[in-house]
Amino acid sequence: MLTNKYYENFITANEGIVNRRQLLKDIIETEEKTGVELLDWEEVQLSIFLQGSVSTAGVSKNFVVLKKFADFICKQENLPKRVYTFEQESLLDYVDKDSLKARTLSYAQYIDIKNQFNMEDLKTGERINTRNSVIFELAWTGLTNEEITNLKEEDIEFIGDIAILTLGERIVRLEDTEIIENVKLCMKETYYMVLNKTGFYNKYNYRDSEYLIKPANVGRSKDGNIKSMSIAFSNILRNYDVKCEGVNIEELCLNDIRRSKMIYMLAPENEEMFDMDTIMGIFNLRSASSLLWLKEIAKEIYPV
Amino acid sequence: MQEKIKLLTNLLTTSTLQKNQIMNKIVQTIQRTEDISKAKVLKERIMNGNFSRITEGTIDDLIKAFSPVVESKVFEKQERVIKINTNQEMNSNKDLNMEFRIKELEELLAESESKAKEELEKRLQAESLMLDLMCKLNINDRFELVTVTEEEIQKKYTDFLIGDSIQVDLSLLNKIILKEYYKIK
Repeated sequence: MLTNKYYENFITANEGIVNRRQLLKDIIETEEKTGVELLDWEEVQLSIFLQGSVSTAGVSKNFVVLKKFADFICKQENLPKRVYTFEQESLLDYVDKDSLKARTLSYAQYIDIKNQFNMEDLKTGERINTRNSVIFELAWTGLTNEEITNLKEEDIEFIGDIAILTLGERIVRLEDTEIIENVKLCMKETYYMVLNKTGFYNKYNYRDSEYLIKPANVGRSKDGNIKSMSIAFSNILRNYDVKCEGVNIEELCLNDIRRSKMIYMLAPENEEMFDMDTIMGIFNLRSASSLLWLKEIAKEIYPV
Repeated sequence: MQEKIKLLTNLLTTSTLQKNQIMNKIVQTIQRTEDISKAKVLKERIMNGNFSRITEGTIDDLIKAFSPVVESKVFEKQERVIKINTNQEMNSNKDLNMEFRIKELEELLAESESKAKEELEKRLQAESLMLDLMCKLNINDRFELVTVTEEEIQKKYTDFLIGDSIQVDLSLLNKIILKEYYKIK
């Protein structure tokens, strides 16, 4: 198959595409399942391949990678470009709704998981590892992985009962007193405790850093912030053995937390309280198109 | 539902809290079941007397949150009456408290004696096992008697408690520290 022939070349030539290896493997798997090679795909094969994403953006992204790979093969083989068509309006049909719902938190589930991050030093009674709570809470507030990673302490201003976060050109207001308290504790925190396999806790000092979420001072790296916030969050969920009924904890990521809050605000019962402009502002969205499909999902998750 | 709204309105208007305190309390109560962004919007509506989007569960929570303020004032009044009128009762209350305290301390003492007895039994058992082992191993000049000092025991416990120890120390887990043991030279 041509896909196997050009697999490695495409991978090497497209380092900027995240998750490209898995996507190409999915393409090859679909070819094997349907018995049809990529350059001969019609809508049937496209549907099978595109099923499984938890967002319309994910579906679009996968389609773009597929087209790029097909163009790459055509160029190498001196073939005319293959044109793929499918209905943009039916993006929602390709979203794996069951998987999405299992990765969407209601407010009660958010509180349940938030409480599981609360940890105290048994000797002093002080809160420890507040960094974990802050990562989770900031995602719920609407910050992206990148914004949480790059948030510096100097970008946080406490005024009365609120905190103002300056994220480049974007300003975010924190009004939840518990989150504000956790941010303050996180700024003062100097070490992190990790449960090891023998059942004891290891203590790691944080690296000296201007960032709010600091990495532990291990290894040779001198970076002041965490390289991959999504991996860090997965490790936290595993280390704390977090459980929540109805939630697929193994697949849960920070994007899911952020999306959960969007869906909560789009619930029919909250329609009067939060208009599209407000939600776009909170989540820094350029257009409302991504909210339209989430609104449909919200109707199913929060039925009237 | 209308009666509950009436009761809540009444509690809010008769509350002795300042307006800011009332608003904060409303937000904190609603925040137990709704995100703060929604809690603040609902607070504004409630303060304006608009209960149209407020669920019955939220109203029940708010009634519960604002009810104790009125009840505790009534309770305080009763307490003051007791203090002024019955000095004799206060004295006999002191005696009762003293008796209760003595009983508590006696129970604590019995508990710590029983624990000490348990520890002693464990230690005797461990020593007897040690003697058996010595006979089986035929302890002679190949073995050296090691005495563990109090400082060493203290350090072991401290390391265990703060989690710096990465080895599973069976003697610590069984809460038995042998003061002497034989080691092969």
